[in-house]
Amino acid sequence: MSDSEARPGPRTKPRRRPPGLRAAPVARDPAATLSGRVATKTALWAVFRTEILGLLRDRRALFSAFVLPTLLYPFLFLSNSWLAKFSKDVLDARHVRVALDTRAMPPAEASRLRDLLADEKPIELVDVDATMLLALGAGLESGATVTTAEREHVERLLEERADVLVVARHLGFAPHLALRTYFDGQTDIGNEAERRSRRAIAKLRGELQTQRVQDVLGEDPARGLDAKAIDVASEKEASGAKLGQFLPLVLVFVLLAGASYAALAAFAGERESGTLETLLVQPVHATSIVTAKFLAVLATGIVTIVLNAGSVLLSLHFGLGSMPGTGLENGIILDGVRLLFAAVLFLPAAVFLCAVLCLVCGRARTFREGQQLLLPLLFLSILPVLPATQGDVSLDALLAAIPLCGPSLALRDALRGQVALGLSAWMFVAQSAWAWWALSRLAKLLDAERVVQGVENEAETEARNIQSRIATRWAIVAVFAVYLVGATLQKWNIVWGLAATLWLLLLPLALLSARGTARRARESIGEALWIAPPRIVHALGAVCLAPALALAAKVLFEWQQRVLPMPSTQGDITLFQGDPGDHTWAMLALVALSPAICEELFFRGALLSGLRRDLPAWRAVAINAFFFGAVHMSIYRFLPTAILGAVLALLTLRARTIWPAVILHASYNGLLVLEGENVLAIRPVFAFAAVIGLAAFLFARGRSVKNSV
Amino acid sequence: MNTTESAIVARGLAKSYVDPKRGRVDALRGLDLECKQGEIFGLLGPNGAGKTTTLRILATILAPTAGSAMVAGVDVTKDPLEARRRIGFLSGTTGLYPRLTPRETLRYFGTLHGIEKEKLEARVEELIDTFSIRDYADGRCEALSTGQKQRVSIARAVLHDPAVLILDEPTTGLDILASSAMIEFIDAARGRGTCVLFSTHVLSEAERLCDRIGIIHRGTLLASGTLDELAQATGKEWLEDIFLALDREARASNGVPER
Repeated sequence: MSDSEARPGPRTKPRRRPPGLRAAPVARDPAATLSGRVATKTALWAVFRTEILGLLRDRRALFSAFVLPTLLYPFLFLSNSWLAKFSKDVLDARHVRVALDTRAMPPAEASRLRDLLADEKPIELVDVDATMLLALGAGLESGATVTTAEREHVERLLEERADVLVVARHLGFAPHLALRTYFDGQTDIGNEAERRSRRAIAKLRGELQTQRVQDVLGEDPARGLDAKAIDVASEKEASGAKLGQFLPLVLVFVLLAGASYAALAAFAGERESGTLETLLVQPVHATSIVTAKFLAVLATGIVTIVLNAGSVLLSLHFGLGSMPGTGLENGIILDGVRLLFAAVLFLPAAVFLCAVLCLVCGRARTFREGQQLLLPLLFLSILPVLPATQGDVSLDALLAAIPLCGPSLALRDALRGQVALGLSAWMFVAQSAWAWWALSRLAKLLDAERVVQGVENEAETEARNIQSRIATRWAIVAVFAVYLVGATLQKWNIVWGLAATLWLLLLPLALLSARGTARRARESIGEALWIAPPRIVHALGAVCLAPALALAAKVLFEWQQRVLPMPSTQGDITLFQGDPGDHTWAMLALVALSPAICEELFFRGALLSGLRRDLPAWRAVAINAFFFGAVHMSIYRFLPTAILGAVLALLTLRARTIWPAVILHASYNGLLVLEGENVLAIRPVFAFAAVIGLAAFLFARGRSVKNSV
Repeated sequence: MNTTESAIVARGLAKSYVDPKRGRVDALRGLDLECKQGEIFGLLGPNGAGKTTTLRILATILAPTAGSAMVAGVDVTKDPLEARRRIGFLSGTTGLYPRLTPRETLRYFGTLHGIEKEKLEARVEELIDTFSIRDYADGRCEALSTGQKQRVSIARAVLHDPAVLILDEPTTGLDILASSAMIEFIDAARGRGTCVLFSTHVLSEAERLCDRIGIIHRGTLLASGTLDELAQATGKEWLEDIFLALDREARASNGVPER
């Protein structure tokens, strides 16, 4: 054949013919190929092996993920302890001058003190006259506070002669004689001088006490009182507890650091290099490919953890060094069974974290984009681990169900040797459920449609989100306006300031924002603010939901108090002086009605309606909740208000008007105002009401409103 | 439909998807296509005409919204895995694993195709010889030149000896040497009885290689046939003119103003 042979045409004969490309013509059976059915196990292993091989051949990644951290800990510990020893030796060798005024002491005791001090070599004793200091009344009280006059006096004495000043004085009461040591705690030498004086004084006190006991009780001092504090926690438990407080944090950090490289390479990197599309046309289910890649990420993460944790634990175990500030100065005692148990408890968390890592990296189109997502992920993952670093936050059923939080608390408790079996089992189940959820999301990750069509122009999509972007900008303006202007107004006068913030700041912002939305969408402001009349069922449903929601907020707040205790100064703000009963109506108007109207008009009206025009419902609700939480100006109120914001936003989307949210918001705040009168005590009725309220929203949808996507 | 005659048969292929931002996008609107065994078929069309979408549907990467497609006797929507065993797919953006050697790359994809171990080793050696890869078969792919990478990619695509080769703009982004190697390869496939379906917007490539040409525009196939048939139908001699004439015709019938 060749139609093209017949016609003259622009044709370039290749100048160089690559050898061997042309094969002899063969007749073939059209369907016959070498390809056959491949067992899932074989495919899994092939993908897994290739992932690991790629990682192992990346020397830089290998070095920074595995080798460096593993060697780093012993090195860090060694150099740390060497430094500590070095500075101790230097300090021990330092010449210390002690200024003494022992005139108030009996001569025998004074000379004994001098002898004991002289033993703390190298030391020099200088006699000083501290009469002026004593005249100021220094050392009369047992507390360690000093007046400015005393401080100046001591500084003058120290500056001239010595690093520490030891003064004896008479007391008019038992024990009649006092020794006061003054030193400058900011200098190493001052501390060292104080340490040596303290040792000498302690010895002297011991001798004097033994003497007194003998004097009073006769020849047998054993009949006296021998007091000693004994830590009943075994050394094993003590070191386990100390380790348990910081190990979860290290584990999460190290897991993310190690596994993130594998996840980036397996998903974002492969997408960037163009191999993912090829992989997806192989006769293997995409699920198998994802599974194998996930397993490679998990394996990398676990190996990193084992190497790092092993390195830390062994370094500490062999007393290679101390961890300053962690209480592990004297090394730790390892308990293999406990460590193994702790590792098992942490396993679902590792699976969950690796799956989330894969999800994040799978969304990224390039390596760099993936890297940018890792830092936020790191912060988000470290947050729920923080409670475990606090010794007194204990594992309970709710905390156990929170991803990463439950496992880290359980890990801590397991290392302490205080395992609540039931709770640990519940934690394991709940965390496995989280891991399962993440894995099931992962199965859809390599959906080919998304992979090949996700390559869209960022700038174009951004331009299309004009409504939601402008609405978000107004929300940022509102939050800052409330922070700056509102807070100032409220400092000036809490009642009028609050009223002005709501009616003169938030309300105009809502109208301005909605005016823009309305203009762009060619609607009236009312339509843009979603203020169409509600259905009766929704209005009633909102009232029914209020008590349960207020109660839930109370419970949530009480729970939050344990994780994030609120300082007492941040607590209740008194709006009106005097008996609260006198001002109930004013309170209701100011704290219930005004916020309900103004905040709803801004957040559920202007903001949510703007967001919902471009964004899927869940994202609009999430952004809405975030800003609603943020505007309340307190980290302690963020979570409760953000959740309230999400509920109000959902109701608004369902009802297609903000009025149910206004009603719920007003009754919710109203109940919190009246809470002093214990209105929230009748619980079963509230639960019943909540069910009715929810049903109202579940079974009835709002009248359709133009432009609510 | 005669499967022994037709390697690819597509009937009424449509693909529309809802882009969260752009709304509904109709990439294909009822496309019919037929390629015979041992035939080289070129798909021509401007950017956004639906070439890539068509090839991706035929290669089982995308699922069609409507219509059906048989490739080498297998319905791509009903048994995508079986279809993938009979298709070799290569696109202009296809990459290689930088840290694997060409030999390992071929072994990897051979394993994913379920080729038995001894057979695979023999096949890999055969391909290394056929595509003259031997000199760099055990060096990392990241160190290869574009032309060398292209050879490895082609070897990867024909590893399982597929009955149908689907190549999406295979010469895009290649220099003269590499793209001429590609053209040689396509030309050579004719002799082996493999059906090659490839898309391009380089008209000279199509003129030189194709047994038949399909012109695709706005998600439908405007015309298809040998170059002579197309020339007769439009009264033009050069492919470029044929293409422009068909494009103008289509715009006129759709009521779209001329550019």
